[in-house]
Amino acid sequence: MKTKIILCIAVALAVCLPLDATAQCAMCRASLESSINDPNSVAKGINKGILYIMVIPYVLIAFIFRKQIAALYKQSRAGRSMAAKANS
Amino acid sequence: MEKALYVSELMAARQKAAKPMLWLAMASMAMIFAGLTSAYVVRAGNGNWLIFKMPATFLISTALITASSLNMLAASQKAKAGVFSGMAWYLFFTLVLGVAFTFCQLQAWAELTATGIVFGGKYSNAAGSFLYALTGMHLFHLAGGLIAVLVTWIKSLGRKYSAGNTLGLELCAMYWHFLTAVWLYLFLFLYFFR
Repeated sequence: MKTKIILCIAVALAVCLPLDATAQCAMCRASLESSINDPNSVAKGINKGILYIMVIPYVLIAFIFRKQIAALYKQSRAGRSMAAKANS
Repeated sequence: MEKALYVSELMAARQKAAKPMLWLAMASMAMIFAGLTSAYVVRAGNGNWLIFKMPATFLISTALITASSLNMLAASQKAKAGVFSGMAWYLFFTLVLGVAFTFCQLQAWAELTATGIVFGGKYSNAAGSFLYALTGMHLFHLAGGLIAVLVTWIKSLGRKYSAGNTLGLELCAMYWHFLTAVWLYLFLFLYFFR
């Protein structure tokens, strides 16, 4: 009961006290696009940075679930060879 | 009677959840470092980026933490084999090498500051600040690891571990190897990505 009340208060606070954003995605994008030819622009590194950080969660998930993935792969191969045998 | 059963079941459930929880925590810690190194990549492409020589002390600290992880590996191998006699010594060496790593990092910071690469202020460059932030964040996580190793060492001195009851040691070993892996990654990243 107590945790429920605390949870309700936390949710209410999160909903009622939003942080006002002073910028929007379109603004950054516009400034990046307009400054792409400037040699000191932020745009140069940002594509590399985005690609880099995009890869990492995939690597982490693949590493953490490596055993399950290997088991799944093995299972599907076994299933396929069984099916091949059944067909022949 | 019923209460004792309930408590033992709760303990079993907690123990079962411990490893997935640690994996989750380690994944989120990895994402902190991913975020910081991604910011490094973005900022490096932005110009006004100082290229300086990495202090050789980082090489020594890399060797130290690798040796520390190997000692931890030896300790968990012993526990896996059910031999608990020499384990405390391996854990002790792990702890000592971990502390030596910390001092080595601080020494590297002192060397960097002496060559004029500072964390913040007027004379700082983003390249130097990122180096301090990344190594500092790693040291911060290492502090927790050191406490875990200390607790594991004391518990193994008190013969608290036995065959089938090594969860604490396993969790500690996982986290410690994670810290080594993060440092090796950071070191290679900082060394090759300038």
